[in-house]
Amino acid sequence: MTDLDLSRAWLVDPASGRAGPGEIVVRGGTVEAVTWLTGAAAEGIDDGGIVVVPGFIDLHAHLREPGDEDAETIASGLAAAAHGGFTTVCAMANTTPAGDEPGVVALVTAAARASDSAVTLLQYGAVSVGRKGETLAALGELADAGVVGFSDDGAPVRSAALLRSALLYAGMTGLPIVDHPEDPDQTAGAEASEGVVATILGLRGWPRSAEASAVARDLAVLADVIADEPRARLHLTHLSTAGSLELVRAAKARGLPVTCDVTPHHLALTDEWLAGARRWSWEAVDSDGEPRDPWADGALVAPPYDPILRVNPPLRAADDALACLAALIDGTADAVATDHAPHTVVDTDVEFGLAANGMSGLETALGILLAAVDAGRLSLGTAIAALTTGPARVLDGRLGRPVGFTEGAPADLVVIDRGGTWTVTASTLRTRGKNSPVLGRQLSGRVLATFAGGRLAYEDPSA
Amino acid sequence: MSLGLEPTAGPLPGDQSGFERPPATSTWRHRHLLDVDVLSWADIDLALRTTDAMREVLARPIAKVPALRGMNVTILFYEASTRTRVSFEVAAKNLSADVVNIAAASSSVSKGESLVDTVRTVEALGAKVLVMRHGTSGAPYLAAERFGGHVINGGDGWHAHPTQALLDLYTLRERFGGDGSAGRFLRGRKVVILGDVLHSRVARSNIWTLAAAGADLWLCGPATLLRGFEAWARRGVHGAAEGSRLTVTSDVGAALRDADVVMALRIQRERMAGGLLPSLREYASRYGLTAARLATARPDVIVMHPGPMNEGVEIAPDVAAGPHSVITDQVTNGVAVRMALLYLLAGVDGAGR
Repeated sequence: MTDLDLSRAWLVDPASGRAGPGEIVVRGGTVEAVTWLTGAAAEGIDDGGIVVVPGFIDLHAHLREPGDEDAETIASGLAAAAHGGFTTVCAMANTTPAGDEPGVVALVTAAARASDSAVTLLQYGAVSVGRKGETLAALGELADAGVVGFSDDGAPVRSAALLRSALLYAGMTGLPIVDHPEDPDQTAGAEASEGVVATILGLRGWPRSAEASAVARDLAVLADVIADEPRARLHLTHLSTAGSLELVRAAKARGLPVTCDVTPHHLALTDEWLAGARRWSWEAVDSDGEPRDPWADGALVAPPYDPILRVNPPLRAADDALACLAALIDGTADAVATDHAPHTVVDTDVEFGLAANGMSGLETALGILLAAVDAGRLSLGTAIAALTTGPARVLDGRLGRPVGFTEGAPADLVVIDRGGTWTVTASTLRTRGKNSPVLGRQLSGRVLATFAGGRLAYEDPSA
Repeated sequence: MSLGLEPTAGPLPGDQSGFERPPATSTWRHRHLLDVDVLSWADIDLALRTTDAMREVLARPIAKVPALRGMNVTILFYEASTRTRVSFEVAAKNLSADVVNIAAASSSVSKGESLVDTVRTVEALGAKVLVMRHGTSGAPYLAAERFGGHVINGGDGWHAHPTQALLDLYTLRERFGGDGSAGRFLRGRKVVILGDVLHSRVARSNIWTLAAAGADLWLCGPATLLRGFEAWARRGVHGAAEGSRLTVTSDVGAALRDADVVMALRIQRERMAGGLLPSLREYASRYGLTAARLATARPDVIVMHPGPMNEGVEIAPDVAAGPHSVITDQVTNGVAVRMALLYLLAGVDGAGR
């Protein structure tokens, strides 16, 4: 099926800032007609029914191939992406071997082609050889091979000196350095965000300053580098604390070429989940914004220490989570990225302190953001922009296509049953990484169909 | 309350008739003992009163009852321990259980077997009660999810040491409990936990139980070893009795002044490597529990230590062995408390079954 004829839908087009009742017709994979309805024709159509949005773009996913195909393959990762409404996925380079030279990039590109997925796979190259933080990877050759940026994600760019070189060198290619900001000296052995929950659970504290000090380092280096190389670009991924977002806010106000993203889990989940709470971040504070005590108000409904909740950076307290949400709303955060990190049960069915960092996220990003929308914490428009135009802006021209409903262009859109729900289970997830923090939970916003690049990438089996 | 436990020297070992159920108003409703944060005061009181009965058993010429006769109690310790492991073993044997001891270093754990596999194996070998110590906070919860019987946490990482907290509370009840009624017997009593609070599962478990008992609780040590606790104090301890307070300070003078109880914690050498302490010598001179420091406490102050002690570091030898010390009472009470908990969780009358 490459045709679609929706005469009564709610269209959200963040590119034009327009949302409202509309009609959309796709023929042979091409958007044939987009009509915004007004007056009587628009009556009775609202954003609680069928909602059509542009295809999502994920700036940050781990697809594990090559090297860890038991956790995920390019094919299973792209299938998960399509189920989640993503039509473009940027894969990180922390594979085995690392994506530090064009051969690995070619291998991943070939796997994407072999998967016959309609989803576009973009790749980052590594910043350093083997992601070891010692010498620069083949940035120029990687750029020629088509990578969209450079990242040692999984780890920070190890030193300020290396970051300086990387920003300068990558600047020549026009590509950004995507840094995972973390000061490893402060986080050695750390398990949970430093605070009351980590204290009570006896988990080794992961200070917020470990992120903010790395962000400050990165911004200081960037400010120096742009004097010599104005094309240098920095993107900070998965920011998780109020302090580091404040640093980015100030840097943007100074005009530094920096962008950043936040993840669904850091804005909606909190460290309380480690103790067994399962409420969203906005439910973890009282009406004055003061944090509630999950021990005192009966919020501990699941066993503590669920190893699936171990993630880098860690789930934070509600004030940080709400700061992530606020940053999305005020534009400090340019995008939502999933940091999709699939793992096998071998790596997650273990003691919390031994569990692998990271959670599965491609298929639940929309549902988690819609939970914030349902709670009145986020507008639908902002949520969709964070998954579409936001990441497209970060990718700059490297996306290679417009975002939105352009007549005559290949259809790249998601049809969502906004009122429909689905339950996250191991069998409903397409990813091999069943390590989702919302396993067993019902999410709203069922994806009925995903069109990617003019092809049907996903169709709800029950639709 | 008397459970009327009969010694095995009396009726036949198989005769369980000597047991009376605890009063119906206070039944044990927990299948596992993983942490004390889920225990109500009624639960704690029941554990203490059951310990009274076990103390009676221990006072007999043959301290053995058939409560867990034929039951496999497996003691799985992933960390070195003498005191706690032996205490559990003696407690289980006093209840006539069959005890299996597994030291992780000598088992297939050292060959890389996962905790989940080990738990399955232990269960397949017949274990009904699993007493577990593990270096990782929360590990007993993982075990409890997979184990068909009862799990008792014998200490996990920095997180919890529930039987230690209960034996400490029992030891304090002997001094402050008065008539043995269910009242919050530490109300108005200043209890100081002194030392490496950050890394201490003993401190964390004691915070819950001492607050529940009504204590004016003080945590004292160098600021590097108190990180995170000020935030907990600001939030307050859930389940604390009315009037109970939690104060966190690095001022040892203020902490010890007029204290009713001082519990010193072990300082480990690894802390210096982590940059948390300059030296043991400096710690001893600034925070060591010496007779001179103790003189500012109340004249009848009680000195406790969960062991093992570094005498001359966190506690002076003359204080450890002095008239205020109840450290050996803690050890004796440890056996009784563990008998009580094994009985409550797994005994024939235990409501936790």
